[in-house]
Amino acid sequence: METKVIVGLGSCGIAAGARKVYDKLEAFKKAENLQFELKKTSCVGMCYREPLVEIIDDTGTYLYGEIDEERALELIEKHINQKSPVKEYVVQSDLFETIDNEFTGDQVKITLRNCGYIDPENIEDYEAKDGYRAIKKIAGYSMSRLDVIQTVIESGLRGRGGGGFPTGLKWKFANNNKSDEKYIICNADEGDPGAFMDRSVLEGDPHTVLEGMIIGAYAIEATGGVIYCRAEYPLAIKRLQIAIEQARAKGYLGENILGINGFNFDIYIKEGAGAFVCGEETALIASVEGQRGMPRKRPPFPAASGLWKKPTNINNVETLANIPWIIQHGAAEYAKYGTEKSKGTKVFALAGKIRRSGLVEVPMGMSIRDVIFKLGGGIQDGKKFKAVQMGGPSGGCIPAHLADTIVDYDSVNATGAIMGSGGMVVMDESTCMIDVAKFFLDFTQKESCGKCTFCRIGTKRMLEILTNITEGRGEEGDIERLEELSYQIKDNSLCGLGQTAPNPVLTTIRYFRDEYEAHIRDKKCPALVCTKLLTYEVVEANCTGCTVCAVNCPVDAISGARKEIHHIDQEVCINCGVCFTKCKFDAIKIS
Amino acid sequence: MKSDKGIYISVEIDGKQIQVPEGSTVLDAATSAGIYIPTLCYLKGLKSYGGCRLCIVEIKNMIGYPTACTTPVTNEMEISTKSPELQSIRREILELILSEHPYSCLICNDKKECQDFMYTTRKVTVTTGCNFCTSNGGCELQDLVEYLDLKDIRFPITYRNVQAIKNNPFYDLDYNLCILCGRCVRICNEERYSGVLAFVQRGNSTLVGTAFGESQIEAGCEYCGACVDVCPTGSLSEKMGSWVGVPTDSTTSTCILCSVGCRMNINTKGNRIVNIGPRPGKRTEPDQLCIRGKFIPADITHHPERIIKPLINKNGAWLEITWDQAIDIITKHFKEFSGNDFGIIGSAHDTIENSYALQKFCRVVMGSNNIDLSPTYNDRSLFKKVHGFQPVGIDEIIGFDAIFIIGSNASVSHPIIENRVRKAYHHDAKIITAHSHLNRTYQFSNERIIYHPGSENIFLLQILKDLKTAQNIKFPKDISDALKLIDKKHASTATGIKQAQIRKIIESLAPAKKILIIAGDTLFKSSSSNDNFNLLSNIHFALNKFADCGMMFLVDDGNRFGATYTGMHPEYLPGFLEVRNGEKKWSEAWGIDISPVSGLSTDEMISNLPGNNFKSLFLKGDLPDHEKLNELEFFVQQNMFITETSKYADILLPAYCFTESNGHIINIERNLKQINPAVHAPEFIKPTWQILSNISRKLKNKSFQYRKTNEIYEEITAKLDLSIDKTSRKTSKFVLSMPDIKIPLKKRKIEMIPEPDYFLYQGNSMSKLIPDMKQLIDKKGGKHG
Repeated sequence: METKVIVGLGSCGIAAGARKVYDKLEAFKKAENLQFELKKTSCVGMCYREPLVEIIDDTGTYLYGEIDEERALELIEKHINQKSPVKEYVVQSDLFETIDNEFTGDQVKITLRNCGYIDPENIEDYEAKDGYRAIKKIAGYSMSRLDVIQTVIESGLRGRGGGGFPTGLKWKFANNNKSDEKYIICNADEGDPGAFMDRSVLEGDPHTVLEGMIIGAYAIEATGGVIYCRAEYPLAIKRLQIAIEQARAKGYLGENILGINGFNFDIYIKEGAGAFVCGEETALIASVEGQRGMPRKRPPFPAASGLWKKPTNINNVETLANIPWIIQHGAAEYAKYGTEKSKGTKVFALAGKIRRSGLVEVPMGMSIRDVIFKLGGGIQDGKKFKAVQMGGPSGGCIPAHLADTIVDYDSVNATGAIMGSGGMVVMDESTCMIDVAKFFLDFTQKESCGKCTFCRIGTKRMLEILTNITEGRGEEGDIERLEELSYQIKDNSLCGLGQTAPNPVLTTIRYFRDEYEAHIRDKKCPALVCTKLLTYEVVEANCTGCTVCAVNCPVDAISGARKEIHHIDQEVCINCGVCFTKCKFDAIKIS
Repeated sequence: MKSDKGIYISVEIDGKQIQVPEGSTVLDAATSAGIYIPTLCYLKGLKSYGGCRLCIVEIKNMIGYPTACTTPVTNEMEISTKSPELQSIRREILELILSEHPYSCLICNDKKECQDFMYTTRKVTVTTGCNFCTSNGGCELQDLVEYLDLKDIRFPITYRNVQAIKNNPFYDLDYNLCILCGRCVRICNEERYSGVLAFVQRGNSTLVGTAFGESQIEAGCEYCGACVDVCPTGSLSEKMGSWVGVPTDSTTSTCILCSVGCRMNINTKGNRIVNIGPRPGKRTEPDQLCIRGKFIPADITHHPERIIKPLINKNGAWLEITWDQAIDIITKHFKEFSGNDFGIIGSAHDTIENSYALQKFCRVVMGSNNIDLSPTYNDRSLFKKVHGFQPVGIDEIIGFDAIFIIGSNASVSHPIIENRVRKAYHHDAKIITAHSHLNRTYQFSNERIIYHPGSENIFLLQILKDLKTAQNIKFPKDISDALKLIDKKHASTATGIKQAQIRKIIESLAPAKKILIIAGDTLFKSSSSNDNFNLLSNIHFALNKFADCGMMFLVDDGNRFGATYTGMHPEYLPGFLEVRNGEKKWSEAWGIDISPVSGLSTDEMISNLPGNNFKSLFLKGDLPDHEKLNELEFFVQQNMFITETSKYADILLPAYCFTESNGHIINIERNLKQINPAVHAPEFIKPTWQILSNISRKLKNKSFQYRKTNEIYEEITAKLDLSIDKTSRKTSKFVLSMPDIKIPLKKRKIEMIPEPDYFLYQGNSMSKLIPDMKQLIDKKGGKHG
C-alpha cells in the first residue's frame, strides 16, 4: 500500500499553519520525487494539537500533532524515508496508547464521523465512507415520505441548533402543509462566540449536510433548498459550493433524483451578512428574501408560511448531518445513545481555560465533569475549575458544584443555562463572573435587531448597570434591578434573542451572587479582573529598584530612584497592569 | 386580517362578552368593544409589527404576555387587558422608551404651567430651556405618560447625539427623539412603496435612516409626507408648522393642486396653518396626501411675498391703492373695451363658483365670449369628449387585473393615483407602463415600454393593429382598411418598439377581466392630441369586447374639468352647450342675448396681439411671460404674487388662496368636492366673484350681483347637474371615431413634448416661489421623480 500523508486543512489547522505545511510537503515531494500520496482532510477535533499530519502506512496510522514546516520535513525523512515513526510527535495511533486517547476514548462520532478522515472536496471520499447510501436506501427500498419522517421521529433526534425541538415532528408539520413550492433551509449562521461545531462539519464533511437536506427535502416534498451560511466562513462556503457542484454532477441534486419520479430538488447558498439575529428562523427567512434580518411575530410559523410565504422547514447543520446516519443505521441504533428524552450524540466546542480545546462528540447523558476533565483534560495551568458557560449568549454559566449535571436538554435547562448549539466555554478561578455576564450581554445587545423595546433598550440598560458594577459604581438594589429587568426582557421580548439574552446575567446572579455583592458593597473584584476595582502596589520586600515598571508606566505613576524601592501613586495610576506584567521579581501586588 | 366568510366568534375581554369576525386580532376585538389598549408602533392600515410591546395582554391558557396587535383571536378566548401586572410592565416599557427619548418635558415639575401658559417658543426656552421638541402637546408619549401615570423614570437619560437634519426640504428629521416604532419605515415601504426609509445599524444603535446615509432627496424621497403624518413624536416634523404649537382647529377641505382632489385636513392655530394631513391623533385619517397637499398649501398661504392690497403700475413701480380706486379705474377701462375687445383668462386651480362667475361676467357684463383657461389643450373639445366616458373612481383602481398607463409621469403629476397603481401591482395586477422616458412607475410595472418621444400616436396604432389581429376584433371597414395600411416595420422604426414587445402587451391584457387605461397628459398636449384620443377610444372599444375596460384621463390642475364644465371655454357655455349653436338655455337664464360667435382661446387672445382688435384682459393667476401682453391697452391681473407677467399689468389685485376659499371643485372622478376656508385671507383681499360684482355694480349691470359664494353655487346647481350620474353612461355606446392614419408614417411629424412644470398653482410656479421646492427640483436634476 502506498503511504498516505494527510494534512488537516480545516480553518483551525490553516490558522495554525497547516497550509504552509501542506505546501512545503507538496514542494518537497515534487523536488525529491518521493513516493507517497499527499492528501488533505479537515479538522478531526483536536484543535489544541494543530497543525495535524497523519501518516498511514503498512504498519498502521500515526497522527502527528503540532507539526510545523520543519517538523514536517523531519517526519518525511524519518518516518517515510527511514521507516521509523517519530514517536514523540504522535498524538494518536492505532498501535499504541497516547495521552490524547483520553480525548477521543469516550467519544461517539456520528455527526463528525467523517471529519478529519475524508477529503471534503472529494465526493468519492464521502461515497467510500457510505456517503449517499441513505438517500440510495430511500430510493432503493422505496421508503415513503412518512417512513422517513417516522424514522426520524423514532430516532428521538432533537434540533441541535439550540431549540431542541423534535426534528421529525418539525418535518411532519412541514409535510402536512401542502403547497406547490416548499423550502428546506439549512441554518449555518453559527454565531455564538466560542462555538464552531457547524463550521467544522461544513468544512470537514459538506456532503453529509447536503445528503441530510436531500433526505429532508424528500420527506417534506421541498422544491428548493437554501444553505444560509455566515459570510465569515469562507472555507465552508467554498467547500459547500464544490460539494453542491459534485452532487449535481452525480445526480444527487437535480431532477428525478436517483430515479425517484418527480423528486426535483436543488440547493443554493445564501451568505449571511453577519447578523447574529439571523439565526432566528423568521429573521433568517427575511434575510434570505433580501430584507433586513428582523424577526417577525409567530404565528404564522415558517412551517405554514416561511420563505416567499411558502411552507419552509429550517434545520441546523448538525441536525442535518445526523440524518443520513439515522436513515442508514435505523432509528433504534441512534436512540441507543443518550438519555430518555435526549437521544443520540452532541458535538461540543470546548474552549476557554481548558487544556485540550477542540471539538468533541459525546453521547447525551455524559456528565459535564467528564467532558471537561476526562476529554478536555481539565483546567490549564492547574488552576481551579470555576464554571462552564453553555449555550453562548443565550445560555448561562453552570458552576463547578453542578459539574455532575449530565448533558441533555432538560438537565442543562434546569440549571438556567441551555444546551444551545454546543459551545462550552470553560472558566477558571481567574475569571470574573460579572465580567463574563457583561461580555455576553454586550454581545447580545449589540446584535439585537432593534425591533422590540425590551431587547433594544432593556439589554442596554442592563449592560449599563453591569458596567457600573464592574467599575465600582454599583449600588445597593442593582442586583434586584437586574433581576427585574431580566425577567421582563425574558417574558416580553419578541424573539428568542431577547427572550434568552438575560440568561448569562441571571445564572451568574443565581450562582455567584456573592461576587456581585463583593463588587457592589466592597468595591472588590475577587477574581482580580475588573481593572477599575484593583489597586497595584509595590511589594517592598521584592522590589530591586530595577526601574522597569517606572519606565513602562504610561502615566508616570511610579516613582523611585535606581536601586531604591519604587512607589505607585494611586491618584495617577490607571490600573492598566503594565507594571505587573513587566516586573520580573513579583514585586507588584494586585488587590 | 378580516375574514371574508363573515364568521363571528365570541371572546371575552375584561369580563365583557363580544362577537368579533374571525381573523381579527385581539387589538381589533378590544377596539370594537371600546376597550383601550395602549399602543405605539401599531397603526391602523399597516401590518402588525409587535415592536413596542405596549399592547401586551394576558390570555387564559397562553404563556407570557402576547401582544394584542399580533395575536389573532380564537373562539372563547379570555383576555385581560388592564391587570396591575400588565400596567406595571407597560410602565416599565414606557420607562425604557423614555430612557432613550429626551423626556424632561414629560416629567418636568413645571409641566402643568407649561401646558397652561407657555405655548410661545420664547417663553419656554427662556424659562426652562427645554423647547427642543416641535411636537410638544401633540406627542403620543405625553399621552401615554398621562395614561400610565408615570411620575419618574428610574434610568438615567441617554441622548443619542445624532445631528438633526434641518437642510431637508419641507420637513426636519431629529432622530434624537425617535422611539423606533417603525411607523415611518413601514408606511414608506408598505403603503407608499417609496422604499426610502429603512432601519440602519443594529442593537442599541438602530436608527431610522436611508441606505448608505444618503439624504432624503438622494434616496428618492417623494416628499409625500406620510412618514411625518404617522410619527408619534417630534422626530419628523413639518418645517412650516414647527414651533407654531398644537393646532386648535381642524378644517376638512379638498386639495386643488391636482385633479385627484384629495380630502385634506388643514390643522390650524389662530390664523396659521400648523400642518396638513390627518386630524391630530388620527394618524391615517383622512388618507395620506402627496407633496402638493401635504406641504405646498402652507407654504403658499403664508408666503412672505404675497400681495395683500390692490396695486397700480406707475411706470414699473407698484403703488398701493384702495379697492375703491382700483374698482373705479377698472370700471373706467372696462367701459371702454367691452365686447370682443375684452377677454378673461382664468385658472383651472379655482372653484367652480369663481369659474362660473368669471365666464358669466365676461359674457353677460362684458358681452364677450373670449373666455378661456391657461394653459389650454390643443384639442378644444377634449373635455366634452372626456365627459363621454364613464369615470373611474380612485379607490376602484386596485380592483383592476391589468392597468395600461400611457404617456404619463403620474408619480409626479398624480402621485395618489400612481400610488393605487403601485398597490394594484403588489396585488398581482399586470401593469404596463409606456412613456417616452423612464419614470418611477416603471419600478412597479410588468411590461416597460419606452417609445421615442412624440411617437405616442404610432405606438397606439401598433397596439390597435395587434389587438385587432390577436383578439380577432371586428372594426368598421374603414378602420380595418386603414389599419391594414400600417406597415409594422415602419411603425417599429418610428416608435422604437419592436413587434415582440407589442405582442407581450397584448398577451398581458388578454387574460384580464378588468382593464384600466390611464391616459397621461402628454397624449393631449401634443399636436396629434386628436389622433391620440381617437386611437385610445378605439383601443378602449376593442378591449371592451373581451373585458370590462375603464378609462382614466390624467388631466392636470385641480378643477380643470369643473372649470370647463361651468363655462370657462370660448366655445362652450356651462354644461358643454356650444356657443355657435345659439343655445337658448343660458340666454334665458341670464336674461341677455349671448353672441353666437365662438370666442378667442388663450393662445388666440395673446398670440394675435396686436391687430386682432383685442385690447383688454382680466387674468386670474399667472401666465408664462409673453411680451405680446405689452400690446394690451388695459390689463388687470388678479394673483397672489407679483410675477414676470405682472410687469405688463396696469392693475394688480390680490387673490385668495384655496385654503382661504369657499366653494367646490369637480375632480378626476367627476365628484363634486367642497373647498372650505381653514384660515382667513389677509384683510384686504377679496374673492374674485366679489370684485366682479363690484365692477358690475359700477357698470350698473343688474344681472350680475352676488353677495356670497353660495348664491353662485345655487345658481349653478339650479341650471346644471353637478351630481354627475356615473351609472347612466355605463351602457351608452361608444361611437367609433376614425383617426387620420392615412398619412404615411414617414411623413408624420414627430414632436417632442417637453416635461411640463408639474408644480403650478394658478399659473404660478411653486418651484420658483417656494425655496424648498426649488431645492428639491434643483437637486433632482430639474425633474422631480
